[in-house]
Amino acid sequence: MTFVGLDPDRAGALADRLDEAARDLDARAGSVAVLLVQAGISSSTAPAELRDVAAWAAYRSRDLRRRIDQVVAADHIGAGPRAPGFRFATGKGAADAAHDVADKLAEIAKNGDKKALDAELRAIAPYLSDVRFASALFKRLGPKRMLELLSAAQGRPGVAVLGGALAAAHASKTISDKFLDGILEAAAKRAAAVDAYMHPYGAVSERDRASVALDEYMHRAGSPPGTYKVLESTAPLVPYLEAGTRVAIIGGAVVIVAGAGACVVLSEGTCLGPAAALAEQGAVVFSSEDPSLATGLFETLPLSLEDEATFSRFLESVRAALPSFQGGAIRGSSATGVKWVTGEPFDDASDIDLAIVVDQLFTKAEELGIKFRSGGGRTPPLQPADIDALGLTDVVTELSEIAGHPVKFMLYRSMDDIVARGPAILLPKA
Amino acid sequence: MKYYDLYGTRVMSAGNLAGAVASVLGISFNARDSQFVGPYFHAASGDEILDIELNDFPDRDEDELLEPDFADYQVLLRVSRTERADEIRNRLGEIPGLDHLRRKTLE
Repeated sequence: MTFVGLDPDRAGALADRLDEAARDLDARAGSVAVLLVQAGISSSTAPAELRDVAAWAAYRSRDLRRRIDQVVAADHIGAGPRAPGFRFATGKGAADAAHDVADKLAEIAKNGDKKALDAELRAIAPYLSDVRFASALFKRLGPKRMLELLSAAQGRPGVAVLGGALAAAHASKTISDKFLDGILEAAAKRAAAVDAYMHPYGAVSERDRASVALDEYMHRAGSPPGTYKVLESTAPLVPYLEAGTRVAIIGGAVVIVAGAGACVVLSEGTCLGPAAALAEQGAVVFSSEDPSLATGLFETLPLSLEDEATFSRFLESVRAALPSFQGGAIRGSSATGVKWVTGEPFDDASDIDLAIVVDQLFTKAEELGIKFRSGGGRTPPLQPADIDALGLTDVVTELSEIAGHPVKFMLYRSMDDIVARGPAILLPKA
Repeated sequence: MKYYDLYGTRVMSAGNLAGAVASVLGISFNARDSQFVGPYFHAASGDEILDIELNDFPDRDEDELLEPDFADYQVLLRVSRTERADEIRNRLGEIPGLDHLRRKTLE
């Protein structure tokens, strides 16, 4: 792959060294001339040859600076300080190269050749610093193929390369909000398609939908290749996202926030189904192989329960204590990795927030006079008096011991009421 | 018989109340965080549990008062599972601006 262009910063450094060499050669030519005179030698051309080389170096430096000026002048994209890195000599050169690369990348992503994808992304990484190349590449791909490319790069270092270039292109306004919306829309459609595939006979009941997500959650091997996460609420991401930023690298993951999210859930690419009421905002997350963000947001198991044996014990304890357990979810920082208010990571002072659906308990709570919230969809957080009156004391103690953190309970009317509240890691019923 | 007392203050911050309660009862509180409850202070001694919570905390996941019947109390103190509720109530009476709001009992 050969592209015509240069990195202005590196080329500028090279020009500086050429200037320095020219000055040094000139000085040495003078010294040599003096020594030759002192030695009585008048026929030597060495000083002149040294000066010729110095003149050549000075010429190359001037020529290089002219080329740098041309490249920088041709790079009109964006305001403010120029981003470092490679620049194509012309916008047309950038666009032509981008089109070739886009078609190649799309083909590789389609074939699922991970090694080839890694190699190609590694090869183009230096050129993505030219936003003209990056934006032409993304436009050529379009939102749908961009989603496919990001999905194919999921779990690999290349996803951050793409995300960084996408963020830069969006910041320079060469990629629009509409493009990002298109990626999320494509993600939601794909997730919905997975859901439809698993439910070919039409509408899926709430409980069935929940179980699909839970099955997917418990058996991640069944996830389609190149999965990604669709979050129905961006609230946990807010501390990380600057105002107006809609695509960002958070930890090692690419997060794209869009204004037209249409997917409710959220477990390894599985979508519980469109929910118009929740369609105000959405996000799609593509994690790289080594996300440095706390794992809760991007991994399946809750923090403090991330070891599968511990999580299984936790789940079995819930099921054993609550035989009519209909499902539940862990919410809060254990699920998202960050505290709701401050954005700080989950830590020793964090509780496990457990939302559960148990009809009998819900009815009993009503009989006890616990005032429901959210239109009757849930209780307030249960206080020790409520916990004891509902007969939950032992299970709360047991779960807190397993998790190593206090467990707070909230009773919900249904799984839909739970998932409507925001990001959650779902707990399947038996 | 276990007692569950709810106290409230209109004049003290949660941190100040934690300091005052710790002083009169000889206990220590830990700062904790829950998305359901918001930031709160917690102390435990045997079966007894004391929690200091913000009644109205706009950044809580669920935008609501924890105790809507006591909306004018910004900071709440819950003393739960105690068998010496009256003794504790007497000692907490030393804290100006802290009102006893409700008592529940369980056999």
